[in-house]
Amino acid sequence: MSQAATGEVSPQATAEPLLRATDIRQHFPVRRGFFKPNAYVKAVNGVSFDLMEGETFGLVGESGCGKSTLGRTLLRLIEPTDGACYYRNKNIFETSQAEFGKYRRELQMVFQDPYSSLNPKMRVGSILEEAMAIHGIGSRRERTDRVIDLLETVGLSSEHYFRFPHEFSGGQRQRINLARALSLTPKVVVCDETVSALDVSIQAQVLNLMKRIRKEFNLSYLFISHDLGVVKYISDRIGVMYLGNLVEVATAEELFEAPKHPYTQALISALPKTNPRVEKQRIKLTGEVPSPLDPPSGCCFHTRCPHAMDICRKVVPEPRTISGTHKTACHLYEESV
Amino acid sequence: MSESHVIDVRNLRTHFHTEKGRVTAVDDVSFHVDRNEVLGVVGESGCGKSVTSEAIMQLLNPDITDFEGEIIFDGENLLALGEDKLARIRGKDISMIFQDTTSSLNPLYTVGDQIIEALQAHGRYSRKAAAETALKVVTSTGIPSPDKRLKEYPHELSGGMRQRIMIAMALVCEPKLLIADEPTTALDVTTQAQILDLIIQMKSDLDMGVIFITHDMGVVAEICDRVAVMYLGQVIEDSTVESLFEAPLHPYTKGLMQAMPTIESDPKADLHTIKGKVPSLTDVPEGCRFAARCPFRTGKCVSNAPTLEVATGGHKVRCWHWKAIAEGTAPEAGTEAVIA
Repeated sequence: MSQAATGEVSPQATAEPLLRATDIRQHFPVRRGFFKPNAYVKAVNGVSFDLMEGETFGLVGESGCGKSTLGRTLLRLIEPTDGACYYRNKNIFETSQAEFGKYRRELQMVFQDPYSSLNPKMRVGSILEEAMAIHGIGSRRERTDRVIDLLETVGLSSEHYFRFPHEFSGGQRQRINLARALSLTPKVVVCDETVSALDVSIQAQVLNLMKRIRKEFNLSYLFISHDLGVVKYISDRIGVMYLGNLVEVATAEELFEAPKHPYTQALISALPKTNPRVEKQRIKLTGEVPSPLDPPSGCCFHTRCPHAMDICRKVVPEPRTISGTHKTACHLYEESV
Repeated sequence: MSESHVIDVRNLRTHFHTEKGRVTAVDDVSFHVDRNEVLGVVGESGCGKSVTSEAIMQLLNPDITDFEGEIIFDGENLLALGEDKLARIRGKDISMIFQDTTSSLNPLYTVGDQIIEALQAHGRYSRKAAAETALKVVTSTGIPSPDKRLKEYPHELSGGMRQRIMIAMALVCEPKLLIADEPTTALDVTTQAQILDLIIQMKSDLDMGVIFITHDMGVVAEICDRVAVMYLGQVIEDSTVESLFEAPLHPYTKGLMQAMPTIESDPKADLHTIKGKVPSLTDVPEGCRFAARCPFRTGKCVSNAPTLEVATGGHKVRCWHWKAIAEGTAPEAGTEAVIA
């Protein structure tokens, strides 16, 4: 997929996007031998999208589709191979590490694993103050006050200040992780499978909290998850990834009511039914996801697509606008534009 | 026990001896599974669903576990059988598949060898005959180019293919009962749909009973005939899947169903939450175990433990107030906010 003017895709069509990713590529080299050239795992292969202010953009896809790599690349936790990421009209991929620190304060991340993302040797108070100390925010006293405020914001209390991470349950730890991200008053929070490790009843509590916080702090979320139900619930717009490519972008409603890309259609039809009496029609995908080391020519999905045509094997489909906010990269919709 | 019951679990209690004292992880659990039937066991982490299945397979360390009750399989009480007899049942008459396929397969042997091993452990098979049977079973799981796959090592296969191999290995001796412990939790939705179809098809082909352990209500709706909902070591609701989804009776089941965001949930409304968190097994409440988190609790709930009573035909529930709740006449007590 190549970059395209994606401005009109957003709900607030006139507004400038807060974050604009254009043609992001993340290729990891694989050494094959001394005399052979390196092969590349094309984890993210040319992804473009916009994130508007106050919006939640959901990224869905199956394991290995590159959604987490994309999230990490945007925050430069892994240096990108190619592409640009504009935050407030500045390409943050071109800034030096020192200068990027300034932006990182406004671009935060919450990870999936509530157990490994908190230092077991630090008390919760110190964990939450550390980020502020690094960025030189406030005096020691002000930081402590702010941490206690934050603990209350995420539904914990000041008595948890001196506790260690092991004293908390998974749901509580994700609350601490959220508080840590919030401590720097970010604008964008990348949530990488934030609720996936939690039990259903706890997951609901954290999702409600995340929605409340987004409003209160005027945040934008990039919400990465494999769980379509969760993504549909929390997102304004959703991007579907397959094998390093963004194959479809639409508002949450459009995507589930009228999915356009054959992969999205298959993904939605594979969801377990919510009522045992209803018979569900399934689109069965055959075969396995191809290796990102050697992605298929043409459309990345043609090896499993029930509608594959000749052109799909040869030409990479460009993202096309189906309607105002709905875009897909598929040759089936060629004539309609 | 009627003829059609494959297994009958009666008043099973499982106690562990821990540093914090005796912990009862499974408390008075009874259920049965018929031939050609899938029983779903649902609940959140720590509710005892996996311990129940490990008790049936007798996989728990006998030095630190005590059992009470009976597990009747084939007319014999599994809890009273000796290790040599159990070894003949495990993997032959009762098989199990797990969530984590990577650690369930031996990385040093080809998957073909591992399936052949299961066959030869339970019957007189020449290597050649066993290899033929293995190929037949693996082919029936729908793996592409099965003869090639049998010669491969587990790391060469994807998660979905490994789960198919696990299923082939579990079913190669044509068991009467299959215990599936979250077999699709680690898989993607498209692969999950394929594996669920496979389990349903194998169930009717072999006319076997299946105990399907999961935390996902969607998967329950998809595959199960009957469901037992567990909470803190007890079955709190037991019903046919249709009846459960039409009208869940226990407040916990209701909460669990509403808390799960599906593509039908209203994104503008807050998700329904169950207040607080599951109490620790070392500190089990005296009355109803769900009382502290229940919006309908009364004084009776806090002091007296309800029993599993029959509500309507085939639908059992462990709640004092299920009738009033179903009729909508139960007063909703204001639960103080408890933080999870």
